[in-house]
Amino acid sequence: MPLIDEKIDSLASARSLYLDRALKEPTLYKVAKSPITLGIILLLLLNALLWITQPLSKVDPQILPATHTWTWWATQEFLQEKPAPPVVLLGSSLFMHAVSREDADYLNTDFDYVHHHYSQYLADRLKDRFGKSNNLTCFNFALPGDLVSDDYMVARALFHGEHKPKYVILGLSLRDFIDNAVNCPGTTPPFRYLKRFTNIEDLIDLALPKWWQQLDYRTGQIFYLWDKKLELQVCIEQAAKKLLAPVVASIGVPSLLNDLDYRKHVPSNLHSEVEEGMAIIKAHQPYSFDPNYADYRRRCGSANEGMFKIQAGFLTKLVDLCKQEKIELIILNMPLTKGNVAIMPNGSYEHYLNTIQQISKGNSCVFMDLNGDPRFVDHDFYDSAHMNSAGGKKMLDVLANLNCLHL
Amino acid sequence: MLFNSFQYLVFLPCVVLLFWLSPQRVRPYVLLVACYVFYMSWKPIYGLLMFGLTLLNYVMGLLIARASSHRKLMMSLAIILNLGTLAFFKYAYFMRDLADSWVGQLGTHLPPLGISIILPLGISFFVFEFIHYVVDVYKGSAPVRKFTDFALFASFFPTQIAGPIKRYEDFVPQINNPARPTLAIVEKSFYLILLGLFKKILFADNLSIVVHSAFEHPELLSSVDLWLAVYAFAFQIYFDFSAYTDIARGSALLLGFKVPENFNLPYLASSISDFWRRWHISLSTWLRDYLFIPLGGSHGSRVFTYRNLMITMILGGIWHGAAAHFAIWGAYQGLLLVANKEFQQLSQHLNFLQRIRQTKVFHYFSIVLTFHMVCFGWVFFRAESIAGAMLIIKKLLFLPEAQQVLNPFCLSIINTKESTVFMILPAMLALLFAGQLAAKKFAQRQTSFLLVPKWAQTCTFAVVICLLIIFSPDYAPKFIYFQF
Repeated sequence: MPLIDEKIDSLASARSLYLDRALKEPTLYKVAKSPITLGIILLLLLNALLWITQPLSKVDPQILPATHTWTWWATQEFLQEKPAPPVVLLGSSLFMHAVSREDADYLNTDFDYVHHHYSQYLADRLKDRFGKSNNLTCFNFALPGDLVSDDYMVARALFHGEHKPKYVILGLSLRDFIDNAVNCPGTTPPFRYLKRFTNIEDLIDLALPKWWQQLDYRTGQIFYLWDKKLELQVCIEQAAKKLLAPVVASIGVPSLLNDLDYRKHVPSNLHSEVEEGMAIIKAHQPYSFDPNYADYRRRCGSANEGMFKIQAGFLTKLVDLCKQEKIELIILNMPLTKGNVAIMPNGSYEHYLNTIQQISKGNSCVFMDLNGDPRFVDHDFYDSAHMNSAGGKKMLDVLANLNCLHL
Repeated sequence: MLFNSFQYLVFLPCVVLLFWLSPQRVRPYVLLVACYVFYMSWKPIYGLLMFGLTLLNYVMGLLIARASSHRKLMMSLAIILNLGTLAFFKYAYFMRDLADSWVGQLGTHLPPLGISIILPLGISFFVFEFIHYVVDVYKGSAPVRKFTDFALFASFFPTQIAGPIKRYEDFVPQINNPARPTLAIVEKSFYLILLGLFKKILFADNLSIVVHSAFEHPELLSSVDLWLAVYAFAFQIYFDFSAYTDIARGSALLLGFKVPENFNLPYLASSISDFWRRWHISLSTWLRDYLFIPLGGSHGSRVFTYRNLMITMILGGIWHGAAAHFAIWGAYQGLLLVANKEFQQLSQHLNFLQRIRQTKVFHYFSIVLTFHMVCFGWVFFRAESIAGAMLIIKKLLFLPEAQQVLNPFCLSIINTKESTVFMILPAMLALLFAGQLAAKKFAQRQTSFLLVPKWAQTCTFAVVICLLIIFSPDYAPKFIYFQF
């Protein structure tokens, strides 16, 4: 039976003959003339030109092209607030939805999420308490899918100078520390957007923990196109949309994909993007309980200890930053249904609670565990984690009566 | 580690450099280590599975070659062990649920499996390579003597996760004599890798936005929208999978290896059998050689041949995933192949039909018809469930019983605000089809991109790299065939 080794010998001799005749080693000159080499040189020249001129770095970060994410809308509105709102709410959709739903019911009006970043209800309760009639505002900077690292970036990028609030109320849950759907803190949409307002060099080890993530970041420092790819993507997309607008308008077919339902259909990597008219909060909206356990099992089913440590590091940084800027930080453990807590990996919820308690205590921050508060019952939720307007109202009443607030 | 990730961008040049800078006799070992690093970067424990299966098949191959009796028994045992491993990881949940639904009719239920099974990446592909190996050795081909050679055949990283399914007779001889990296080879490798990334990042990933939206909630779309979405999926899966193959071939070429092509402009096929000669070629030839022919092939009555075709295609469908909709997709392809054979038989007996078949109009009509038949099949392939697939099919056929929220003839998908890809979808699909025709012309003239003027190549390389940099996502979306 012939062996493969014999075949190899015959093939080897045939190949070496072929190589000798046809495929002589290229000289350096030939390599230099290769379209690949020339293409790479052309690219490097373009990069050098852009790196020297830095065209996008000369643009105000607020008006620099950006995808219209939840963070973008909130930032635009926050920066227009002068003087800064005295109270800012930070956290994830757990905070955002509860506050917004209650406001829609309280004001008895529908509003567009992207234009309503306030808690009128909380502001009015605080005015009642402190007898103020001025335009006291409570800004709702909670963002869907937010992690602690994103909360820190909001504070670091925006809360200084004339934009510094007096109080920051941070609503936390275990998901904000261990979300398994997140690759690394440095690639979340809020982080990517907010890093244009601040230098993140000191955060690299925390935000980009893997070697290739750091290498990716370092590549951006020397390769302009790589660094500015998000801005360039938006420039190209905006130009394309502008060009196509007349065509699209001429078709004029009402699209069901434009309404709120559309949010369900987009892939998760586009969930952070939102436009006007896509997310309308309706007053007194009837709802049926959504048992979204599968989603939470996917995102919180494993302890993700590495991510937990990183997010705890960001919480410490946020506490330090607030101290440094003389901002009072109030930390809330957000209410959840029992079913949701039961999904968490064994011991991880207790570990999380201990961690945030210790960080709060060690830094003299006010800490409130609303999840241990018997006032919050299952009827206050529209799914396993998010509160409805009734739950939102209860929570805002608790906040309005906090002893530590002095406005 | 995904081909479209930053990690691979670092990994590939490092491996290529290490490989060529090492002494010749060390190179296979360097490559073998790189292959295991690549595989274990996802779940290290599955490196043991890969090694275990490699060792098993290596030993079985030698035993089969040396044995004078019970060779068939040994080959069968090897096949059973390979398929058993595949079945355990891929079909355990499906089989348990199926058994539970049967037992459920008797008023009782089976206990849950009690273990969490994660499908090892690429198992469907390397198990098929192992089966090919033991069958060929049984038929008289020479076994591989060196274990490292065999281990490299099984774990070769460019083809490890999603093929193309290699043949060891072609691959193993290249291990000790890889083609030296001449300028021409390096240029071709670059071209293939860039082409693959271009297809994946600019086309497949963008089309996936439309496809995802449509297949998640078909009830909200009009019939015209769904046609667009189905065309979009046809191109998404083609660009996604052929992109993977291009990058695999380019990466292999940088290491001096040639791996088989997997696609040959499949949407220009003029019949369904022609389509299967152009689509996932390494799988269809594997199914032909190791399933259809052993079943008896076409050596028998028509009914016998059709039975074999149906079995082959249904099993081919189930190979893609443990779900009924994949089996239906396979059965649908089998039925189309049977219908195609029947039509061929009929046209041989009818002169006027033969004359019509030779006309250009019929040729183009056949291409359009075949494309649409394939698109119908993709609905079953992509749908989340059979009920979802049926709703889409009803809407595609404008059947009145399919409840229409919108006028079935209206075009609403284009009016979506979120992403530009919705707005340009019809134009994009038309361009992609035109691109196929242009590629065919290119192929007919036996020319290639590497023969166009150098300055044009230079500019194209620079522009393509620029676009890839700008549009590369922060973390790479998976290739569709990774789940199989």
